[in-house]
Amino acid sequence: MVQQILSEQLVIILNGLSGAATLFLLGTGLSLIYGMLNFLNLAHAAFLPLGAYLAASLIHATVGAVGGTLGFVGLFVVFLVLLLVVVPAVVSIVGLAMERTAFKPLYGIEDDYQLLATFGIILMMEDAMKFIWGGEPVSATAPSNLLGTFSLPGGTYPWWSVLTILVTALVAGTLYYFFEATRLGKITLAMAEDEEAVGFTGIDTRSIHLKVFVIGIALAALGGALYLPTASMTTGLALEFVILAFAVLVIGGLGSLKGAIAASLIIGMVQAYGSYYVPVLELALVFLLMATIMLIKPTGLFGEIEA
Amino acid sequence: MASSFDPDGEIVKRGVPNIKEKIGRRRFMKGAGTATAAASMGLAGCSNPADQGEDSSGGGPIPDEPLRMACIGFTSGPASVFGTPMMQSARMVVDQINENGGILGEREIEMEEFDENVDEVVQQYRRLATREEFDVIMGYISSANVLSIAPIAEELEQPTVVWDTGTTDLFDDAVTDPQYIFRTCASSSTDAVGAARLLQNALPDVETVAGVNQDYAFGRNNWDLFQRAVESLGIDVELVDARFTPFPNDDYSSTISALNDTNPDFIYSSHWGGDAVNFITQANNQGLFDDTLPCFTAGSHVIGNIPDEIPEGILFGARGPHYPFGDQQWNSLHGEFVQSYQDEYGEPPYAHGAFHAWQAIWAYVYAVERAYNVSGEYPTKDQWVQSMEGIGFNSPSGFVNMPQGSHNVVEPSFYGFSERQEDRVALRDTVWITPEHVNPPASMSTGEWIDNL
Amino acid sequence: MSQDTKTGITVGIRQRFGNRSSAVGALLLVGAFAFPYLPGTGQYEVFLLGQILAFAIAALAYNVLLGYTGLLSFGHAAFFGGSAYAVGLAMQYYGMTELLLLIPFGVLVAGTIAVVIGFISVRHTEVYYALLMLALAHLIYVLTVKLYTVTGGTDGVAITTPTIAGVNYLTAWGYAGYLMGILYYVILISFVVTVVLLWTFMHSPFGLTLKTIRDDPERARAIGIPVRRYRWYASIMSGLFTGLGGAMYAFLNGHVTPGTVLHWSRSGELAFMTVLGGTGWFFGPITGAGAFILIRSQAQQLTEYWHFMMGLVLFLVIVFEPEGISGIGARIRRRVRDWRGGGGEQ
Repeated sequence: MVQQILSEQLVIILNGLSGAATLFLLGTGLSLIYGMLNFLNLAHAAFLPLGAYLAASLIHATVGAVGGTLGFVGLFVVFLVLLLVVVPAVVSIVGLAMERTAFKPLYGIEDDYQLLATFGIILMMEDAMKFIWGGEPVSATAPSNLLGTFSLPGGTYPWWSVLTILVTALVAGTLYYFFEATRLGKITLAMAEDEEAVGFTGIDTRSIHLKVFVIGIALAALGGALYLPTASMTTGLALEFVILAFAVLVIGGLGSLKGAIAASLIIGMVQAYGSYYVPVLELALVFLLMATIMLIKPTGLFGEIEA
Repeated sequence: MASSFDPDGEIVKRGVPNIKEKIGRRRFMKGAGTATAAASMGLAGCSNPADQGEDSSGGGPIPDEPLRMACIGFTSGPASVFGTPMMQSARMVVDQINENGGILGEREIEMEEFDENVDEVVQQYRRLATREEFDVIMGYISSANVLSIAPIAEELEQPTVVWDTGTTDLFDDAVTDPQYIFRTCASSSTDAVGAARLLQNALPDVETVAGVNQDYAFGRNNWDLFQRAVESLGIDVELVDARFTPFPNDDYSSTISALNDTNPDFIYSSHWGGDAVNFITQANNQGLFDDTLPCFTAGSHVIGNIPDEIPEGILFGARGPHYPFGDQQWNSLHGEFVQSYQDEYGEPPYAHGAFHAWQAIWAYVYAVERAYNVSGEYPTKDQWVQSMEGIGFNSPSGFVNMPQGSHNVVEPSFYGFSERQEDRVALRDTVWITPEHVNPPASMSTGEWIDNL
Repeated sequence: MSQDTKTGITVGIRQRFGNRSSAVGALLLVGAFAFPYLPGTGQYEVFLLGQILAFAIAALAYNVLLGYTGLLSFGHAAFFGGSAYAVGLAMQYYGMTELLLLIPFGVLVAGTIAVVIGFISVRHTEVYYALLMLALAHLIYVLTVKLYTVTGGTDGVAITTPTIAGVNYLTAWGYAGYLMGILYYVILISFVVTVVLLWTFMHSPFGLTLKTIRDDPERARAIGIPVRRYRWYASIMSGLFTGLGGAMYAFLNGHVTPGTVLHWSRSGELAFMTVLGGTGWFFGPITGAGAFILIRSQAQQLTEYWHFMMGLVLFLVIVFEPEGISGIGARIRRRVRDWRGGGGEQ
C-alpha cells in the first residue's frame, strides 16, 4: 500500500518535472528578454514549435540517411548533437534575422504596442510554419524509442523524459552561474537596471542585447527539440504555448531567472497533480493560480520590477 | 486482454459492410418518393440511382451554366487533419464528375473552396448564400459551426449538405424540422452506441471501462452517448474513470499515469488529430496499452501520421467504415477511390474526411439525377430536397442511405484491430454493426432512443 | 506633434468637431438609416453593416481605456462574451425572449464582470494590467468551456430570434424583414446612443480627468485625483458598452461559442480594431471596426493564409502608422489644406 502510494507519487513528480522543463525553457527566454531588454515579445513562444518542427525534419532526415548504418551509440550521439546543438543554433539564426527586421523597430515603443505588434508577428509565424510543415501533426519519436523505457510499478516511463529533466536542470544551473558569476552576466544585470549608464562605460550594449535575445530563443528552440520525441507538433499549439509562457512570466516575476525556475516547477506540478487528481479543473487551476499570485504579489514571486 | 473479437450475436458482424445488404435496398425503395419511381428502381440492380427511374428521353432542359458549389472545411488549424484530405477528395470527385460531362453528363460543377477556420462563420455562410448565391453549400467539420449555421440555412432556404460533423444536437436540438439542410455522414451515435454494442456482443472479457475524451463538445457528447448506451443496454461492465483532457493538449503523462493506476480493461476515446498522436505516443512510452485495450472511435486517421507508433492490436473506428486498408476490400468503388486518391495526392486517404466528401458530393449529384430521371425536369430547390429525402447509393464505404423522414444518412458502426503490414497499418478482424442498431429511427431524438434501448 | 505624451503614440484625443465634420457625420447617419432601402442593398450587406456597428460599439468602448485612460486590456472578451452569453443563457434557461429586457440584462452582466475584474486589475497598470485582465478573462473562458452541462461547452448557446416590445417580427415579417426592418435599427440606435453617451462622458470633467491620468498619473495623483478609482470607473464604463456590443453581436449572429466571443484572441481583435482606426480620435475605432471586418473578409476569400495577412497588417500599422487610419486621414486633410493655402507652412 505504502509502496503503491510512493510509486504513484514518483510518477506524478516525474511528470511534473518534465512538464516544468518545457515550461522553463519556454518561459525563461521571454522573461530574460523582457527583464533585460524591456521588450515584451508575445511571439517568443512560437520559437518552441519552430524548434520542434525543425527537430522533426532533422530526425526524419537522419533516420532516412544513416539510420541503419550507425550503431546505437553512434545514432544516439548524432541525435543529441542535432537536438541539443543544431536545432537551437539554426533557430537562433532565424531569430537573429527576425530581430534585425521585425523586432528591432519595436524596441522603443510602449509595452502595450509591443504586445500588439508581436501578436501580429505570432500570427505570421504560425502561418509560415503551416506553410512549410503543413497542418498535419508532425512527430518523430526515434530518439525516445532508442533510449527506451524503464519499469515502474503500474507501468513504464520513458528515459527521454528523464533526459529532458536532466538537460534542463543543467541549463538552468549554467544560466544561474552565468548571471551570478561571469562578467557578461553582471553587465547584463546592470543593463536591466540602467542601460544608459552601462552604455556610458563604453560597453557595446547592442551586442549584449543580441546575446540575450539569442540565448532566449535558443532556449525555446531547445525546449521544442526536447519536447518533440515524446509528443507531436500541430498548428494551433503555438497559441497555447503563448498563454503558458505568460503564466510562467507572471507567476515568476518579470525578468527573474529564479522566478522562471520556481514558476515552471509550480505550474508543472499543478498540471501534473491537477490532471491526475482533478482532471476537470486542470487548466482552470493554472489561471486561478496566476490570478491569485497577481493579486497577492503583483510583481510575481521573484519579480522586483514595478510597473 | 486478448485482442480479438468474439462476436456472439446477430448484431455484430465480421468483415466489412456488405453492399448487397437487403435491408438497405428495401429502405432505399421505400424512400423513393413516388410509386412509379419505386417500381422502376426496384428493378434496377445497379448501384447508381441516377441510372434508376424511367429514362425520360427528351426530358426537360438542363441548365447551361455550371452548378456552383461552395465547399467549406478546415484547411488550417488543428482540424485540418480532416479538412485538407476532405478538400482534396472533394476536388478529385468533382474533377471526375466533370470529366464525364458533369451532372447528368451535361452540367459541370464549379467548386470553390473556403477555409472553415474563420472567426465569423455566420458572416461567411451568409455571404456565400445570399451574396454569392451558391446553388449548394457543402461542408463543416466543427459542431459549433454547424449549430451556428443550421438555423440560418433553414431561414435562407439554402440547400446545405453537412459532410462531417458528428454532433447529435444538429437535428435533435438546433433544427428539429429540417428542410434544406442534410447530413451525409453518420452522427456520433454511430460511434458511441457502436462501441457499447461491441462491449456487449464481442468483447465479453471486458469488466472495467474508462473514458478519455477531449474536453470540448465533441468529446463530451461522445462520452455522454457512450455512457448512456452502456447503462441503457445493461452491459455488465463497470465505468471506473472518465477523464476529459484539455483541447488541444501536449502532455498526457499524468492522465496516463492515473489510467495506469486504475488499470481499466477498455478505454473509450474519441481523441483525434495531434491530441490523439500525443496520447498514443505517450501511452506507448508509459506502457498503458500493455494490458488495456483502447478504442479510438474517430482516430484511425492518425495511423497515417504515425504508422510506426501504432501498437499491434489496438482498436480503431473511423466514424463509419472509412478506412483505406482492411483484411477484405469493401467493394469495387472502395478500391477505385483509394487508388485514385493515392495516384492524385501520393498518399492513401487515411482520414475518414476523404470518404465523407465523396458521399456528400455524390449524394447531391445523385439526388439531382434521380429527380431528373423520375420527373423529366431538372429539379428545383424543393424538388432536390424531396429527392434527397430517402436517397440511397453505394459508396466506397458500402451502402449509404437516408431513411425516409430523416435528413441524416445512417452508416454502420465499424471497428477493427491495427495490424502492421509491410509498409502500412491495416485493420484486421473488422466487425460492423448495422445502421439500425446504432442510429435512432427518424421519429426519435438520439437521447430518447438510447435511453429506451 | 505628440511630444508631450510619453511615447509618441497616443496623441491627444482630438476634440474639435467642426461644422464640416458635423455635416459629414449627419450625412453618414442619414445614409445609415436609409441603408436597407438603398438600391442594391441585400440581406448580407445589412448583416455586414450591423456586424460592423456591433463591433464599432465595442471598439468605441475599448478606446475609453486604450485611448483615453492609457490602459491596454487583453481581457475585453470577458465583457463582450459575458454579455452575449448572458443573453443566450437567459433565453435558454429562463425563456426570456424580449429583446428590450435581454439587452439591459446582458449589459448588466458585462458591467458586473467589469466591476469585479476591473477592481482587481486596476491595482496595476501597463503590462501588468494587460496580463491580469488576460488571466481573469481567460479563466472565464476556461470555465465556460469546462461547464459543458450548463453552457454547452465549445458548442456554445443558440440565440433565438427575440420579440421586440412584445411583437414577434419573425412571424410577422419573416427573417429578412426582421433583420432589415427592425434588428438593424436596434443595433443602429444602440450605436448612436453609444456615440452620444461616450462623447458626452469623454468631454465631461470625467473624461478630462481620465486624460490627465493617462498623460501623467503621478501629476494626477499629486493634484488629488484618486487615480485608481477613476481607472476602475473607466473599466466599468468600457465594460458596460463592450457588453452592449456583445449583445448586439449575439442577436445578429444567432449563436455564440466560447471560441468566438470569450477567447483572448477576441480581446486582441478589439485592440486591433481600435489601433487600426486610431486611438487618438474619438471616431477612430468606428473606422477601425469597419476596416478590420472588411479587410478580414477579403483576406479570407483570397487565401487560406489569411492569419498571416492580418498579422502583417497589424504589425505594419503599429510600426509605420501607430495613429491608424484616422492618422492617415488627418495627414491627408492637412496636406490638402496646406496645398490649398499655398503650402509651405504647417
